[in-house]
Amino acid sequence: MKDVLIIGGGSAGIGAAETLLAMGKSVAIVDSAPFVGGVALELSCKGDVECTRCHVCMPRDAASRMRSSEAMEVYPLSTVGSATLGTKDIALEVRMSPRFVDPKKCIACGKCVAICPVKGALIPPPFGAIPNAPYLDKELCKHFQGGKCDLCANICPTQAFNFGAREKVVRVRARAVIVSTGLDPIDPSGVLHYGYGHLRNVISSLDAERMVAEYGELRRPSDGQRPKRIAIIQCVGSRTTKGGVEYCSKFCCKYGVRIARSIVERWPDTQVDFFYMDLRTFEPRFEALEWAVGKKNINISQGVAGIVQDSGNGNLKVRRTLPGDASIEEGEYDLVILTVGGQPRPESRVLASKLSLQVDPLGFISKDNRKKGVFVAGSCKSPMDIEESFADGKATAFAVLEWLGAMR
Amino acid sequence: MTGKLNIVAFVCENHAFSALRAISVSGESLPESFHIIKLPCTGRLETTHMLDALRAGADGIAVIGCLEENCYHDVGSMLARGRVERVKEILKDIQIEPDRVEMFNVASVSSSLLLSRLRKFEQKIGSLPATPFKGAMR
Amino acid sequence: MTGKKILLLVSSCTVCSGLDNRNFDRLISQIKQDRRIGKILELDQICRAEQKRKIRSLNTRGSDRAIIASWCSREALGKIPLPKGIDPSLVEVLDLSLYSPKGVKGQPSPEPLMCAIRETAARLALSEPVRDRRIRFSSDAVAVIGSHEGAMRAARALAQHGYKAILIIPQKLPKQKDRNIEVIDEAVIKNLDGIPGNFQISYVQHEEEKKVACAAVLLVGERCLADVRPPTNPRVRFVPLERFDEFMSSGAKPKGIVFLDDLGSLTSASDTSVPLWHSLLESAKNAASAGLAEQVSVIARDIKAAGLLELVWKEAAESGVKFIRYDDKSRPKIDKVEPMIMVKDIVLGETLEIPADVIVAPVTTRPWEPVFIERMFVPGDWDVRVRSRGPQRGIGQSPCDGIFVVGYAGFAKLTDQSYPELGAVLSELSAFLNRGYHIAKGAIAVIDEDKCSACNTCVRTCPYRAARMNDRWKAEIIAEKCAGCGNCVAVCPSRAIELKNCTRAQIESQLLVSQEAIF
Repeated sequence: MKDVLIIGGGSAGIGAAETLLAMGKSVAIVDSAPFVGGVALELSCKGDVECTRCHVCMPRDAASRMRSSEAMEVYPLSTVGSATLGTKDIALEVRMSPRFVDPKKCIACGKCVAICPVKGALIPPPFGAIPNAPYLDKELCKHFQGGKCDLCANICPTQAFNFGAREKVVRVRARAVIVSTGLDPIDPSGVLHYGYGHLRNVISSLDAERMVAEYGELRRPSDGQRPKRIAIIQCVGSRTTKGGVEYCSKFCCKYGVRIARSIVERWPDTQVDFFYMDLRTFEPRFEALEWAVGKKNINISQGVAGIVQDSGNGNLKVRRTLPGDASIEEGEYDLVILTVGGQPRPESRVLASKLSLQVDPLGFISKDNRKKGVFVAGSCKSPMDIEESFADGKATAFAVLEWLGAMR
Repeated sequence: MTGKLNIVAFVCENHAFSALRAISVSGESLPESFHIIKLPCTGRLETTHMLDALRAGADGIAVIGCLEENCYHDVGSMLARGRVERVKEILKDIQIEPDRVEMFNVASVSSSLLLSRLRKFEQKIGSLPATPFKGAMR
Repeated sequence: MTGKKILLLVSSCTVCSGLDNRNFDRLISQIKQDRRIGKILELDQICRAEQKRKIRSLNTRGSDRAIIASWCSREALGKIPLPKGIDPSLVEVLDLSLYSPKGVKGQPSPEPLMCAIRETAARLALSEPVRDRRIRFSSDAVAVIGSHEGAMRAARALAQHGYKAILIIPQKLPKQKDRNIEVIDEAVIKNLDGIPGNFQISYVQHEEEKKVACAAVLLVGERCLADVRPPTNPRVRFVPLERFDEFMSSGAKPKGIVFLDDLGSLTSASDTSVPLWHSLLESAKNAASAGLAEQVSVIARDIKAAGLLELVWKEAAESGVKFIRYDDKSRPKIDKVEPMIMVKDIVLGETLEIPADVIVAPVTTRPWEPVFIERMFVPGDWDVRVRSRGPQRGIGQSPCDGIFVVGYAGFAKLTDQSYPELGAVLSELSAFLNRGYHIAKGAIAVIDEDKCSACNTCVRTCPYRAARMNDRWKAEIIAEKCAGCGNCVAVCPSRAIELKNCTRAQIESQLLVSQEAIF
């Protein structure tokens, strides 16, 4: 029996786990992704020389410190089936899909990743991921897609591969549960006038971050070249009644500004035009934008960018206004980044009903079930960025500690 | 430029070394020309050490530390950058290419970014003429 | 250099290393030539338990230090097997997988591996045994420092959760009954000294200097209101945002109420932080719904209705609140005669005249006592608020070990927003107190007094305030505080400081070995 089962190992879950482990409790983390660590695992650090406080490394550093703790067990690629809220504990059925690499045997030497012939079939763990062992994607892996290939299994020094691994169902009992299932990124293809999905060089902020995390730079999807004129459009899919959500996702201003900054600082030969409606960074505006002062290659424009269209060669024309000029013009760019926010996951609603948690009409979990030992942390409650989710995870862990002390 | 390149990398044992270590699990390895000297903080690095390394025959020096304002020990990487800039000025004065010395600030999560920067740095050093001090201290 | 040699334990798993036997032997024979290295042992699969046991019972005669070189990640290696008779601080673990190219056709070169081992040996040969110490916390109390309301609330919250709070405030407090709160009122903080878990706070109370001990410090801050220069137009009245509810029930019936994002926006480029917008939007919405004035407007640079607040903004707009955005070049101005504000709406592109016989705004706070930033060396940001620097340090995180920040000390926020932050702080505080000890590192800086010129550079540089002048007017390092970062060593103009286990000789030795490398 564990003290606390955390469903959703993102920033909030990691924050909670760190506190609980430090207080000597035993923790289990269930996550549907192949690695525990949340969306931060896919994002890149936005600092060039100076830290921009994007907080991507915060939960990941915490997770890497916790990795070898014996009081923690993780269930990656797993979902919760049924749940029984008893008087003394909570019993959950956890369905684990096979990862094919045994983390207890893996020594993270990287040989399998180097030798795999299919790009993307064997994914190395990003820094801070738990477990620190590669993940084999069955859909891409040659061995599972009809070919004969066991290069990875053969080269592994510790025989950590098991192609025959099957799905397992485990019963986990815990004294308390924290639900921290987070958000899904909003798909910008619903916002038709931006052309995401059919214009090749229109990408989302998440695509941009993944690209930088993998290649170390931005590349135009059409020709692989580094872009020289970039438009960054904020609030895509949020604050809208068409093709997105009505509320504000809150964290995208913070990330958008930092993405713009990291591009301007790392690649000073790039021209960046940044379009936003309201700047809702947590810090005051002058602080959020002081890096841009005096730089010639950045325009920050309060005014929504309009239609994005193809202008040939994969370039894009965007109708927008520039600062100091009220007229609407068309500008040409070779890459457009649409900054997207987040929305509650449909799975969160399903999980909430199993644990008797209330969900509001927007899909956020609005009330926990403390009497029965079920707590809620992080952005599945309301839009939050990584920093706030991490702090909320800790605050929830504290409430759980008190509850455990008082109740069970 | 012929012969094997020899680049000394002064690395802090905190975020910078985490980023370096993570290179291995992604199936890559550190380029052969880099020799790692671990420090408790890049702030420990003195200007004379960088000059010593060049004098002893190093083709290049990479100083890899935490991001500024995120330094594990608060001020170390900022002080280190100041010293790297100072060394560049000294090198200009004595007609040695200032590009031989470079500072890299990274977070623990940026291992692929660091690797691509180090590879570019290695290429740049390789394109420079041979250092006059090769084998000076053997 | 020590007369004893280094024992080298190399994992010989050919699969892990990717080296075949011939190249592995070449590697070993090259390393043998290094005079620092004595016995070399090849063990297969060091990560396995039975191999670890073998290592622990090895005959280590002739060596007083060891290198364990393997191709495992640190976590996979697990607990480091310490050979008997060798000081744990003289055992270096080397992960060679960083240096071995993978997926390479043919044999990878063993040269980078050899360099890595030899460079490590060069440093290790000159190391001295050091020991980290654990210093137990001498107290379990938390000093709560701030000003009246905020600090009192924080102290009560701590007491409610079972902690002992020592409340240190400048005001006078009536006698209060909570046994878990010790009150030190009418006190002005002078200094914070000591180490985490054993802090000493010196303060002045009734003109006497006193000291109190605590394990941790919670900075709550103070809501220091900036001097408000009320509008000079006598027909315009200013109401602070937090007193708007009072104003609403006062029966006043103004023509136009204007909510400004910051009173300072009239004269400078400041703005309201996101937490205060909740209050601003709710107040505007209530005023419009109640028909309190003919026109309710919000004039702001950005409408900071972040997150679900966006929906409150919509409700406010639907109840008739007018939202006007301006930019830096066209800030709002209060008319000198008429009760109205002129502002250029950047969305419409027109200059508007907004009726404003009442202006409501949150009052700008001025920075808190800078003494904490300087004396306690808590990292502060440009306006001297305690802002946790670095990503490890976000909301609720402690800026340095043992010091915690909540409330206005961090940034302006409403009371009911400080409480969730307090939850995260309590969580960190619990973990800190539960840990119960401070680690005093063994590899510390040491000052040679003969060389010290008393310039104070190390005192100013040390991030841990571990360097100070002693009564011989020479600098000295307070061992318990030193974290072994070496920043003082590098800044000392007299070269009077050395860092144990990262001495100048060690760095030079590694440099020479790296440049000698021949295969």
